[in-house]
Amino acid sequence: MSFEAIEKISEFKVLKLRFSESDDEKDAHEIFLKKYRSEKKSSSKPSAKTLLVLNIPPYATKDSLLNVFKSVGDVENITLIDDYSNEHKTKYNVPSKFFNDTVPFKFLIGFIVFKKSSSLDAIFSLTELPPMAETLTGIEKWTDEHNKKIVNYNDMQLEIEEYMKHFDKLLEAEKNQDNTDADEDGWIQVGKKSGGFKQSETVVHRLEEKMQNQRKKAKRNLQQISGIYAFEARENKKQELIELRKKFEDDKSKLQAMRQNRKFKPY
Amino acid sequence: MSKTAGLFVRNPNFVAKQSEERENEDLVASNRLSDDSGVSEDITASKNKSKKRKTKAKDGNKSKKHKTSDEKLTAEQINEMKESEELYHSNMFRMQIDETLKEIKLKCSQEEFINKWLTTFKKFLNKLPNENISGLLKHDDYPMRTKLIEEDKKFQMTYQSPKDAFLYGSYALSTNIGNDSAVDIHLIVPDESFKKSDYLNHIFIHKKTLYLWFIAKKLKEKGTLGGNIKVIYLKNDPLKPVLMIDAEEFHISITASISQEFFKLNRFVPKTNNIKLKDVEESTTPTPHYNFNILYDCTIERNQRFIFNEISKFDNVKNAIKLLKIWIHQREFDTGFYPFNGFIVTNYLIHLIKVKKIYPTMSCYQIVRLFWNLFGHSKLDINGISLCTEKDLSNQPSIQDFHEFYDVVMVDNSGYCNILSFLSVDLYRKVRNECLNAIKVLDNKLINSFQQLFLTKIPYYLQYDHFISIKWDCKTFDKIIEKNGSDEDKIDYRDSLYPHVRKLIMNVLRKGLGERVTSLIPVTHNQSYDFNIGIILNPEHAFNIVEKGPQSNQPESEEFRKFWGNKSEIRRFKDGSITESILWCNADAPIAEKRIICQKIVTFLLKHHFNIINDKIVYNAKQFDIVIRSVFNELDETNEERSLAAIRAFDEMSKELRNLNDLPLEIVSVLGTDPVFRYTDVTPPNSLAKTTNSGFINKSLRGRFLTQKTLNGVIQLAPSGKWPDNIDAMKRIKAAFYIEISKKMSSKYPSTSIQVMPDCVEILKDKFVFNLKIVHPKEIALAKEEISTKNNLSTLYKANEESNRLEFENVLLPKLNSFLHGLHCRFPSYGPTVAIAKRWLYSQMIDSYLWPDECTELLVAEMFLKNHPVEPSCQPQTGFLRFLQHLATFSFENDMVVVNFNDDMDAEQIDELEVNFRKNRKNFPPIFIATSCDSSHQYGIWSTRAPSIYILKRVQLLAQCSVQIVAENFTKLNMNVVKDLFTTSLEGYNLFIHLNDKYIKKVDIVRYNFTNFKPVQLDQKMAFSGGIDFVDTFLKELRSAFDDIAIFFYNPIGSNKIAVLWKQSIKERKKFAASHLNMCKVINEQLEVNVDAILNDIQIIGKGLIESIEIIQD
Repeated sequence: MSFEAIEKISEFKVLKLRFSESDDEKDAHEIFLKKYRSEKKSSSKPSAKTLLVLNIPPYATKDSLLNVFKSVGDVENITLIDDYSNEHKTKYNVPSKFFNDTVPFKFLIGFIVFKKSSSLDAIFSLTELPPMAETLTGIEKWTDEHNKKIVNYNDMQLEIEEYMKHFDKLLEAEKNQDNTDADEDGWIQVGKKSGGFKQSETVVHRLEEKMQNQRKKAKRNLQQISGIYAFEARENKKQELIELRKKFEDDKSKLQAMRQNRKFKPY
Repeated sequence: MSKTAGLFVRNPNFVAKQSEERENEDLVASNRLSDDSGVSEDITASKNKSKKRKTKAKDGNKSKKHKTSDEKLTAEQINEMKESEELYHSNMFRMQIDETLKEIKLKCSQEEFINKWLTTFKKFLNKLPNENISGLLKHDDYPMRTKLIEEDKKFQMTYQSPKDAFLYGSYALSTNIGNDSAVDIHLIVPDESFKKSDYLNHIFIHKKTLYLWFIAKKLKEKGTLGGNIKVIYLKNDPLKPVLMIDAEEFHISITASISQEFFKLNRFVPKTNNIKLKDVEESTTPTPHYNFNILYDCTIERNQRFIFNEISKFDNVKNAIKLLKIWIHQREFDTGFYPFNGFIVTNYLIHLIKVKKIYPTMSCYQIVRLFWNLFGHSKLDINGISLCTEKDLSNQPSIQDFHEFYDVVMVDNSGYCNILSFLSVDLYRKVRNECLNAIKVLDNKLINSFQQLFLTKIPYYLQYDHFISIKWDCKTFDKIIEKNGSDEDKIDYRDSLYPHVRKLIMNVLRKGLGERVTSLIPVTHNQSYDFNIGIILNPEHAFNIVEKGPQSNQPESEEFRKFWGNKSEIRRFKDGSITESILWCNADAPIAEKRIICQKIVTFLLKHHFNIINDKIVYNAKQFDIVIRSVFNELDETNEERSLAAIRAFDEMSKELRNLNDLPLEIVSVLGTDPVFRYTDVTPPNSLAKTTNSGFINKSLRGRFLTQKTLNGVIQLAPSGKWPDNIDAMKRIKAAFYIEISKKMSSKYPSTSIQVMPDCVEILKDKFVFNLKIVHPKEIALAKEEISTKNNLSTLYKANEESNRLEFENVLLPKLNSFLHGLHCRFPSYGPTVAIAKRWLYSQMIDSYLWPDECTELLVAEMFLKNHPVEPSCQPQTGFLRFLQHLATFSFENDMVVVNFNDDMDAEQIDELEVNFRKNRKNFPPIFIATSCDSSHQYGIWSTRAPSIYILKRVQLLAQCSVQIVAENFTKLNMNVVKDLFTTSLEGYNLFIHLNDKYIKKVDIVRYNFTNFKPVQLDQKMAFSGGIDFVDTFLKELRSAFDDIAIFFYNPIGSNKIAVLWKQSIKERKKFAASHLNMCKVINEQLEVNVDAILNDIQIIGKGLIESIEIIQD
């Protein structure tokens, strides 16, 4: 969000990112580098040590980028996202052999966190970047991805059990944090942790619909018993006419649209 | 109603009275004035005004709001609306009638032109010299095929200017419908040119021809009255010469005859003989059809006058005739040899007026509706009608006399001429059926019936399940008549070949096909003499494999054997009977083969009875099946058999799954989502899947199963409140379930193999591999979860791409699948129809990413469900052609598609949706498909992602071209036409990515370029491992990365190249902005798409798969 402000080309360092040593400069993408700044302070992306990289081709991986940037200094961490809206979504990920979120295959935004802030400055004096580390693409990559899905389920079960233990503990901890017991005066604290009242959109929608139907039905019932007094009948007739008129107008506009499309030429 | 409509709004005292009046009015509603009610309307209007004034004060300001809106409508309009609702089906219907009639109305200038032309023509005729023109008879170019029966030295013909020349037919009655039907002009030749005995032996006809031909020659010399002058056969009847002239936009057709009193009409009663052959001693053979020919000419004048007197005053009747004529014209019943034309409609309407079923004062809608209703129940083939009011004419034949000689009877006003003499009884029955259908369509409130009935063209090639075209060849047909015709018919039909052949062939086919067909109709076209027959199958009997004849010891068996020749065999049946019978195909033959049993019967009968060999016949039924037919199977097997086998295996497997009762949560249901489960997949796998012993297929690719394709499905577990509120945890619990299922399955059903994956299980059952995922509604809810951007605190639930995808795959697709599966069971041609349609799209390099498969499925489903304007076809080919036509003509911009399964959506719902659609067209996707299995808060999810407007335009254009190709070649449909339709042009693309054949998925249907893969062996390892499809994965990555700048086209049926089209945006230079710099390079501080780098990217992404990239320079 913080980057939506108009930026000038001069703020960026532009360098060519080559896929492999043999690649021609001409065929390489230009990546755009800049020191990362954010209004929010983030422990995972300290602004003094973080480099923002734009226009990273989709096949690049953390490992392949590591090769590019480690020449200027030790890299602590690399994060790749496809869109700023996902910037703060990055959940804490439990390292897993089996369950990993994949980054969408799109041009990416990268955050390179160096160990030292001096590395950040070093990069701006470069004129050329080393190529990416050898990266699996094409048939090899797809074969690898396919093979990864063929798992030994005993291993997987062990990992799941481990995770669930951890997860349950976490839940337990969260629960304990919520002080749901009544305090001395008998007050129960309702915190933001409990999340308040949740209602999914579909449910709300369904409820609304139901209410509307009920309202309609009630109206209809009312109409059925009406007609005792003359004025009611009059009102009804009036209503009927208004509806008729509305229908007439609808029909007319429909017809107009059809006429415009020369719908009435039979052949 | 009209009188009171305006009144009771204001006058409270009217209420009580009104109910009485309503009753009365209902009684007279049917014969009420509509258009002609000018007088009563005026009265109402004035009454209304006075009342209004009175009540105004009373109402006071109580209803000010209403009043302002009320008063926009005049009393007249209100009347009209009320009236429309009662007299015209609906207001909308009435307005559409008015619009259409306006559209086809002749302009004043056009009328003037015709009148002027007629005057000049008359002048021209009068100036011609009185020449002896008998000599022309021997001229080489003489337009009649018929020759004089005997050289008559006394044959003399002199041109004399006509006694009279007048307009007749639709232009004279102003019931023409603005199509290119001809303007009819009739000439009365002076009596002196004829002898009293000229009605015998075609002499009259020859004289007439000479007369017209002479005029034609002179007209050509003059050359100012119009071009393209020729003498041709009217209604394809070789004994009906007519002079045709094209003048401006009109075709003018000139007939000639004699004054009506010249021949006594009673000479032409059906049973008399008027063709006297020399060698036949006593000529008593009745010549009913020849007689009709002469009678027709002699009664033109009389009938014209009669019709004019009956209807010219009644605009509503004339409008009704016009509407009915349009209805007929759209169905092409009015072309070719003695078709079902306006003349018949008009006469029948007059009959209805005479018997007081219709009153000329009715609205034209009511007249049309009554016509359909009454004609639909008419029995002109059993008990004809007569328009003649006189009873005691000399020698007047009775209706029964007519029935003795003609199939269908409607006698004209003269009492002698059956105007349906040549009408095919089959066509009559077809029209009758269509009438009843029309009523059904009218009564369906869910659709715009007017469009369906009057404005939708249904060309002949879309009307029939099967279509037979026999090349016209006089010699063959002469031979047929020589061999098969009776002596009487040979005289009666002398020189009119077509009706005679028609009678012979149709009789045989009708007998041979019997209950298998609901309609068997000779189809003809103007000025084309090919013998065509359209067949509509009766799904109940058409696929019977056995023709059971009489018991072999009974006398009828002889006749049966004669009719069926050596096909007939004696068989013993299960019930013990031993009868003559024919077996057309084996009981276990594929469905596609059973569909063409009728083809076998027809070709056999044509050969057996008429010696018409296969080369002369084009039989349209299964030409397009080739694109979905298995190439490694000798039989005509389409995708249906393989789908069925897969479904059976799936059902078996899901039973096993549901029986695993000691799982933590019970499995409630296992539902298929793959197109195979609704019979619509183009390439369902063969039952060939197996496990590998080694566990390794080759060095690099691992996996346990070998299969062509895995089939997807979902598992639903019993509800439980224990699922975590966290996506990651949920994933793991699901995986735990997979492991559990796998363990239980292996112990309980060891013959079923199972493979656990982190996000699914694969199960091998009966040589098919299924890929199943557990679904849970909570996933969708969790996907919708997001933190509010406003306060970073509260959780919002909002539909997004991911939640939509989940809902689509987990909820809607299984639902749709079961609906479509049901539809296929109801109409077994549904599946293959969709498969051909999909294949057609694929062939245009439009795969399911650019045009979702579900869109095709739903569009076809709509055609099958709505049952009109034609009933669903039993033959996938016809279904496919109708799909093309639908695609080519449907206006997706203005109309939405409603797929209403079981009529679950009511008219109100649809209306509401439609109003919304019209108002906010921009918020809806280019194709908007609403179905009754959509979730009610979000209609049209099926086409939201794709197709884009550009793809839609392109597909529609391609459909239009395809339809044109089919229309032009329908009577000679062969492999080349099929290839034309299923081969795409490679022009206009920017890049081609050529792929390595080794990695392209092998299919066992004919390939994109109409060559076959070599029969695929399962041990050809790479291609089959776990159903992996490298090209598909490649395309996914390309599209994900470059969707903003390029469109990728690919034919998934074995094609070895991907075509790429850059989007417009690629050429633009943009101002620098950090949010728009993806894929760009900097040039002069501006951004431009870095094409070189992208080409390199493609190489990198498709490493190993790409053979080369070809750049097209433009």
